[in-house]
Amino acid sequence: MWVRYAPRLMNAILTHFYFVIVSVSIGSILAVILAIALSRFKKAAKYLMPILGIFQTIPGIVFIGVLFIYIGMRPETVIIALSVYAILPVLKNAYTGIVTVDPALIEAGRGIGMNPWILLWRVELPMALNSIITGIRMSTIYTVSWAVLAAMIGQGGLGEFIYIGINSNMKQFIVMGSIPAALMAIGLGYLIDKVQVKLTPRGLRRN
Amino acid sequence: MIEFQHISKSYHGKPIINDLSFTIHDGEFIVLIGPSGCGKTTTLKMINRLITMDSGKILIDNEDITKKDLTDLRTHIGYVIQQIGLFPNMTVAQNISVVPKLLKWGKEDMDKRVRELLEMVDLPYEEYAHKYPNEMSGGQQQRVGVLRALAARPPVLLMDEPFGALDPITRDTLQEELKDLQQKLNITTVFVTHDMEEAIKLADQIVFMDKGDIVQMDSPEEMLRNPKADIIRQFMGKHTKQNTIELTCGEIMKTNVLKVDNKRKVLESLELMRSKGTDSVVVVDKTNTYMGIVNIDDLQKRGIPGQSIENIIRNDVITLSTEAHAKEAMDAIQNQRADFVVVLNDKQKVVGIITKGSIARSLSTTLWGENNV
Repeated sequence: MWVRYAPRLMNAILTHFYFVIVSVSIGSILAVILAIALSRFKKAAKYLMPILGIFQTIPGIVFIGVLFIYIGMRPETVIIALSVYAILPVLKNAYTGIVTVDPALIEAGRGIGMNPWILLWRVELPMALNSIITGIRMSTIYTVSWAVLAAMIGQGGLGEFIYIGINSNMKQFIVMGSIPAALMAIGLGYLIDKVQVKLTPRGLRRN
Repeated sequence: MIEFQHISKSYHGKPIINDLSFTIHDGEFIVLIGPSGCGKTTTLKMINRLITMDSGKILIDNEDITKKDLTDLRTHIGYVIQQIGLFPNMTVAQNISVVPKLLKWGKEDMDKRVRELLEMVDLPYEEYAHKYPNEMSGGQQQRVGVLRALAARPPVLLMDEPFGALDPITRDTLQEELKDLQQKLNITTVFVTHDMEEAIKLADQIVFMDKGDIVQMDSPEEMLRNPKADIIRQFMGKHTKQNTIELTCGEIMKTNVLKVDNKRKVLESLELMRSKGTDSVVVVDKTNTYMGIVNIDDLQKRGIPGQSIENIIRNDVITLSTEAHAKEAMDAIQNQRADFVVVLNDKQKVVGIITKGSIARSLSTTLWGENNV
């Protein structure tokens, strides 16, 4: 059975992976930009962050459903939905990372002549990088599981196997869909950990 | 030349600086000092426009600082803060190169400058250039903090309590290094502190501020000689007293003396000394009258277990009366290498002892006040 379905499974894994990578990339970029913007307006952020949090509580299934009505049965629907969901964990972490940079560093930076842009690029973002990557890691792992929903509107991915399994009551299909998904989550998580260590300068590593 | 012309500043209606005018000449080392809230830090930060004044003008070399481009102004004014503020994500070399990089120096020039600067403060390039701030001590970090401020050869250096967070010995070394550097580079320096000793050591001119006004601006010598207000005298107090130290032994002695009765047994006494971590102990009789001391060597070598310590009491320790001049105790400890001196009252009762430690403590309290010890 595994052999017979191998090509289709392979295809599903690739589709799934594609959804995750594209959505997390888009989501993270938007999140970091948003976090930078919000960190300039901390007062506004105090009200905006909880509102954005509410978004996160809308079940993915509902969101994809609504988007489906407007955009249709297309991969874009999945990408948009997953990207939106990928934003929040990164946004929260990036925002916290930026606003918790030691005020002494900001003062030193300003005092020796860094303009706000340079300060952002050379001090605030590097100092927040660790926390941003932690957010991306969370988003990635969530997105691997949310991407299962793509199959709901016929866009493939590992969800396909899971849905078939549930509908036909055949456990093997469920296992065939979920094990690669779990491995993907673990693998990507591990990879991001490695990247994080690599990108953290020695001066910022703990002890 | 930096000129303050009628500068005023208030926060939320509360005046911080009132119509401040003074001039700092090229190459001068100015120390702003005064009680907290006197406006000294505000004054400093107005020079590089981290704080904007409400009214008045600051001119650097006859140019109004508010007319200058902000980056241009700040890259030509070195800035050092108490929290050091080295960027933890950058190496020492990168930290020092921040301002040269803002000024778009070439890579080679920057590297050469980093070497030159590190050498000036005895931090070998090979060993330190590629270290991160968290891999160095606080003193080394602040040396780099000073170098970062000096990197682009600014004509002006601002320092906001730069050594306030360092331990006294490191602070001392850094003060000396700074004074040397400042004289060598002939850089106009404005330095904020609340430590009069530091001000006297470093300043060409001390500006004493209180409640947003300059109370007195003078050379350290002149300020020491003729303080113009009580508040300055209070700040100085610790220093002017120097000539009139008239301490007695009674004033500098420690009163919690470890004493044993002359009938105590050898082993008991040994145990007592071990538990208190002391090498010798004062022996008294039942009426607290001084008999001598025993030391741990004698106890171990000559003491007979089970017997009392009476026959190994030594009498060669110097004793002084409470009225004796403290200098006698110092002489005894300095010149005769005594470990301690026993202080007796007029009835030969033990009232205290004086050790090197108690002398140091009382000296520092007398010179610098209770809080600095």
